[in-house]
Amino acid sequence: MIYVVDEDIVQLQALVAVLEVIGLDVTQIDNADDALESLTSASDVALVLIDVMLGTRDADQSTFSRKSTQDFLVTGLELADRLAKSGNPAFPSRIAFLSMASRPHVVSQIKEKSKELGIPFFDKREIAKGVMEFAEKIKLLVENQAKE
Amino acid sequence: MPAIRRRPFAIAQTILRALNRTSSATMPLATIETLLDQYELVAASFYSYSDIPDEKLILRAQVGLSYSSYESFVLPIDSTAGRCIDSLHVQVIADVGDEIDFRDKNLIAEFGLRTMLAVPLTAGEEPPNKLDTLNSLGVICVYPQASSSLEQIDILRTDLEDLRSIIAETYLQSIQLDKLRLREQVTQRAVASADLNSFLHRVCRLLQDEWPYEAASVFIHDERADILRLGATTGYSQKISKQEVVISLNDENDDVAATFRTGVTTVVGGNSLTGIVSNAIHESIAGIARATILIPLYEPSNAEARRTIGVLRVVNKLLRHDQRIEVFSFGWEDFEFLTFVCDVVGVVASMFDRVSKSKDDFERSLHGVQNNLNGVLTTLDFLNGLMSRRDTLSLEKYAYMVPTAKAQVQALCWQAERFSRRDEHNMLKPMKCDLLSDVFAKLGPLLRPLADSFATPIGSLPTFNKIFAGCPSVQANPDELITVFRNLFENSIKYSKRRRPGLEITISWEIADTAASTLKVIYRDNGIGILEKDSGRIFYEGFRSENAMRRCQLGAGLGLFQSKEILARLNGSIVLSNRSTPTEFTIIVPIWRD
Repeated sequence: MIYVVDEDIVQLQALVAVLEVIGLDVTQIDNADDALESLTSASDVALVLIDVMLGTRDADQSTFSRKSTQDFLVTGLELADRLAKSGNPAFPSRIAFLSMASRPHVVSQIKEKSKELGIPFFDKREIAKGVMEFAEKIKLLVENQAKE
Repeated sequence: MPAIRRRPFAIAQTILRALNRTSSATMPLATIETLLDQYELVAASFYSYSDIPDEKLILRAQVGLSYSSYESFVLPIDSTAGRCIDSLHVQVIADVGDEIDFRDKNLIAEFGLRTMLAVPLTAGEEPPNKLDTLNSLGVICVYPQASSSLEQIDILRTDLEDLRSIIAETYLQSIQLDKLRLREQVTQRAVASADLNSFLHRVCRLLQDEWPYEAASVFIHDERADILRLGATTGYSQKISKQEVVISLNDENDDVAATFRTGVTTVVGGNSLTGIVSNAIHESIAGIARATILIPLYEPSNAEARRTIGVLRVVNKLLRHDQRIEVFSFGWEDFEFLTFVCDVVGVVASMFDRVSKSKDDFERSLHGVQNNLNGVLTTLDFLNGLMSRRDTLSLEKYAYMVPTAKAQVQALCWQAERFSRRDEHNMLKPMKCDLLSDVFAKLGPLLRPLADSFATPIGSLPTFNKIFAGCPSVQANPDELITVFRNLFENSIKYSKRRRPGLEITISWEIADTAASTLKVIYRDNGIGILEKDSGRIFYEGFRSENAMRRCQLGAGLGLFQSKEILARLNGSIVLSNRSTPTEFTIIVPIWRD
């Protein structure tokens, strides 16, 4: 199963459709709390695409604090960290970051975390440039992960 | 001392002339230098009074002595000079050597001090014998020559008695000049700043570089998230990300939050003799944070109740004499001066805030537009890819994406229209408007495609024909009412729970009053609801509640604001009558009269 963790379900509809067309199963999760709860014990993870700027189920009651996520600017980075420490053997290797961030200090944080966890970072703009090609990239990543 | 004659007016003239050239920092020295010169004194010192948070005297200037001979620049209130503060007249102490409470006794021997005249400086109502109306400003200590006769000392005392109110007033006026100077400095910085944070940073640097404060920070209230953010600081010794500094308004242990909540100026720490450090201080400065003053920033308003928009925190007042620096608490001058700083900064900050809200509003909408355009582009790319592969099965399966993409583009057009037609709405005249045929007949067909574009499952939608049968016409412009209800529908769709049983919207109407002059329409949905803390703000321009913000990029917080504006112009209204399960809005519109 490919999990797409992004609050913007509509924008990624086409990507999800393409992944399904090329034979992959996809589940969408639209907030960090649900993602953490579902994925910590998930045993069918082929890949988790995490949007870095990600919301929570309820800002006032989330376990993701405003402070640690820089006002929910980099929630996805904290989610990846927590999944990596969750004990689930799928993580962190089967995580990839997805982001359309353009602010330099955010991009540098994403790159740093990618390097630290040894996981890839995809720019969302690539999807709009060629959704089929992007989906093939994802499929290749999934296949390589499966071999490891 | 010079020949025996009284000449307070000539001396007063000299002091007043000096006022033009002095700030509150230099006025004390200018004053005692004049006295020293005119009366050929051995020495003189000028102390200002502080009761923040406890009473003490602070050495502003001295001539004839040596700063290094002082144990400290702060004198306790129970010292010889301190005891004269409450006096109504100049006090003559015949021999300071006999005074137990004269702290710096080494000065006596070193400079041959004997007689001291303590001149209390007060500002307040006359007659001077009403002590409880007087405000203590400070005290001047003058030391005549040891050889002075009793007659000379008495003349000096009488002159000083006449001069003390002028000196006090001059000292007060020097603060006013400081304020004028500061206003000019802040204005220059406002003009040079591109945005609020850069302006706040310049203000903090100004207080640090050109006024005697060691560090300053400004915290600004983020209305959307209902927290305080660090807007600017000069106090942190290490580079920090401002995003890391977030203060919850409910934090009981935080002085900044407390000042914001109460709207009361607070002083933390401040005993320079014991060096009390507040745990709440975050700035790390070369010395120890001995005292902090926190002053609320207000939005300018003529109303009695002003809105607090932030907090200014200033850490440590520095007193520099020669090469010696002492850190101590704040005096009444600082209280007055920094309150003025906040008044000026509050005005400028509010103006910047308004501009940046509009800019944020536009950027958010633009971001939403960009996201949705990317979504449409991706959809078209995908369908094109399927066509290239001649994958007719998938084309059939995903054909639903075409009306979804169309609805997305339509939503984008509405968003653009929102910006382009804002002013035009002012010019649309109310007319006879039938809710069914002029409003809901047009809106109804758009609901399902719009819901699909947001992947919102539908439970039940209103059957407008049935609901509005027999409904009287209203006095409104149809396009404007379409906007009002479109905004409500859009919010319901965007902020639905997205799970079974799906979105449910109900609408009903009734005649609102016995004179049958207004129609009440009640709109309900089963969406995510509105948080209690947000319910007072949902009609503000640009406001989006936190749980709404996290749901969808398309939206600029204008819908409810726009609806409220439109209805107000029509002599109607919209209120949130229930915030959750269901969310309910009550709309009042005037009924059409022939």
